[in-house]
Amino acid sequence: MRQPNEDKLVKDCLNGSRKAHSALYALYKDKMFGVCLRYASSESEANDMLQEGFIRVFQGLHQFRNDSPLFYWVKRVVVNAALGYLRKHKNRIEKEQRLEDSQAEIRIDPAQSHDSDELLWVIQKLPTELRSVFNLYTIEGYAHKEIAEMLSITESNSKVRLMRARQQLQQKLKKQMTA
Amino acid sequence: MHQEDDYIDQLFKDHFDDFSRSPADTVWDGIEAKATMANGKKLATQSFWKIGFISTLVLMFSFVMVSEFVLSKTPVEAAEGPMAYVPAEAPVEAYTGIHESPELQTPIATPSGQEEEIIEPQAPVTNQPAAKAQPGAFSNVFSSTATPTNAGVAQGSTQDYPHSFGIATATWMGLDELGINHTAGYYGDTEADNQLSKEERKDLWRSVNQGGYYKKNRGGHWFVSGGMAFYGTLNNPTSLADGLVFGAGKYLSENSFMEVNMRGIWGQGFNMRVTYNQLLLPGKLRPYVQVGLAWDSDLDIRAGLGLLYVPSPVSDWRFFISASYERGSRLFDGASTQSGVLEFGAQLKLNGTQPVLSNNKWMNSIPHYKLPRGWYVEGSTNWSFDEKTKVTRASLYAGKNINRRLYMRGGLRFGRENTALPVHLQYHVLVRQKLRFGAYAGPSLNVSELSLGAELGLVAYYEVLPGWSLYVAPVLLDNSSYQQRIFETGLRFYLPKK
Repeated sequence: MRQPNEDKLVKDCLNGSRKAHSALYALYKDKMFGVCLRYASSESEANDMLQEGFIRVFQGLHQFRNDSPLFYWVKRVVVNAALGYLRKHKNRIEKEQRLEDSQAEIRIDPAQSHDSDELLWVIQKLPTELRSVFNLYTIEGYAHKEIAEMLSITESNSKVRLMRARQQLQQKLKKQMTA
Repeated sequence: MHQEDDYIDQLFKDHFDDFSRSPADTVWDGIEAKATMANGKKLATQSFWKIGFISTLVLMFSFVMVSEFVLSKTPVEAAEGPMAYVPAEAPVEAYTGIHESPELQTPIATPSGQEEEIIEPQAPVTNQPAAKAQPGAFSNVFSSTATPTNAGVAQGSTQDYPHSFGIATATWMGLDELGINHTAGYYGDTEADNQLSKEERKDLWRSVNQGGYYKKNRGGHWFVSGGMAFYGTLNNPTSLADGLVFGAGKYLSENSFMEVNMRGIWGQGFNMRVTYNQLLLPGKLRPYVQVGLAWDSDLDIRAGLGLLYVPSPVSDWRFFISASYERGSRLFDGASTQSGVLEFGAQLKLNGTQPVLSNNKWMNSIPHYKLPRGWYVEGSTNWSFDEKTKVTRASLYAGKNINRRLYMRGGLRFGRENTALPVHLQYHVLVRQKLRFGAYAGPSLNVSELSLGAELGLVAYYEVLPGWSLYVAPVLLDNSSYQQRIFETGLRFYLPKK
């Protein structure tokens, strides 16, 4: 996972090289945007999250220790930025989501093998609090205890949210398969 | 139920574990505009530096073009006829060796490096025959049949002193200190002029300047200043404060002064700065530009514009208002700072020469004409301003004077981090016998990364011994992979002429 020039890249960034910052962004932008898309409810939100995430990455790069690959450190910072974004814009996002839910119908191609874009669409339609827990637990691999700390909720609340997220996803997928 | 959960988890995990998509291009623009690097500096290249760098290059290019190509064909204005162009009499090469003549150095320079008064003010002279007619510029002056008036000796036939239009134009524009006129010539810059005796040169000088005013008011006097200042930080968090400003300085010429100031409030700390101020126009209201360094908790490069009100030539008081911009980095954490300062106050002349009223309208100084010496070598050591990238380097340069204000040099800057090959074009705004001040710019090849960059600096030289000068220079190094501000200090040595 570790890039051969990772150490030099970090060192150059810390030395104030703009070229190195640009290279670091180019290296991880696609993967990190993929992460942000899972936490966001729209592409424009994901763009905002990615921007905020990399601003934090550059600002806090001196805190990076070489004991883990840079990719995981960047991902962790971007995920935290995404969660921060959701917290900050909670009211607006919920309002927009309610409006979309009342207007939009879930239409997914009924192919058996699910395309990532379709699954992304499904996950983006989950309520924000369920989506965050599902992402953190299922895809990022955090334990409920860690999720509880990250989202300032209780462990049991995290478990409940995960259960509800799974239920909703199953319903949406079943609906899609029977359509 | 568990099976279904596992299926859902596995399905999403498989699809999203290595999921990637391209974000919008505008994301990077936003990051660049907002992000700060780990060392506290803005990620975006500062537009301030970009604008400053481009402006300096344009200015330097303009100076070279004007002085080398426009004024080398010196226009001489006929009394009431069309303007005619008379080529300058001697090429730059003709200057070579002038320093060898002790006679030519005596009237201008003093040991302190200040320009010396040469001629007492007197009534405008009419044409008087030269004691010893010489070929060249001097004899041309006295071959005129026209009577010099306030319009200057240029107001004669086209046989008049060919340099006078240049002097008149440049002094009227207040640009003589900027060297616009240097190839058009002050007295003493042609082969013919070099042959003149001291008395003859005095006559020439007197004729060119109408025997007028300027001798007594060519700077050299000290002053104190005081006033009010309003200042604020322009970056976050913004703040606005007011305080006192007071200082002292010295007029280097009628058109320029150096000043050391303190600004602030008792008990709340003071900001100290050193500035060089160049007046741009003659008259009662004299605009000026200001460059310098300022420091308190941060070290700033300062640039500004001001307006000086001179109530009368005999007044000891002058009043100023100025607006300036300071940009730098905080000493304790390296964070960038920006400030705006508005000041107004008065200057009080302390001593030195008294101004003299005159019927001469070219009320400006004529700077010391220091001729090129030839090749030189320089060695220096440099420190970075940036706290977290503190790197000590050394530089070696070799260069040559192109003329008395324009210098070319190339060299090697090496350090632990990288090695660069810079080439600089220097332009000296202030030219005194011992003190010089100017700016330079040029490309730089970073040989460690094989990337091309640009360098921009201010530089001051002080001649400590004949041929030896100490210099200091704050420099901006802008490369595609880094941007750093360094402080260079070193020694210049002129190679002896064969």
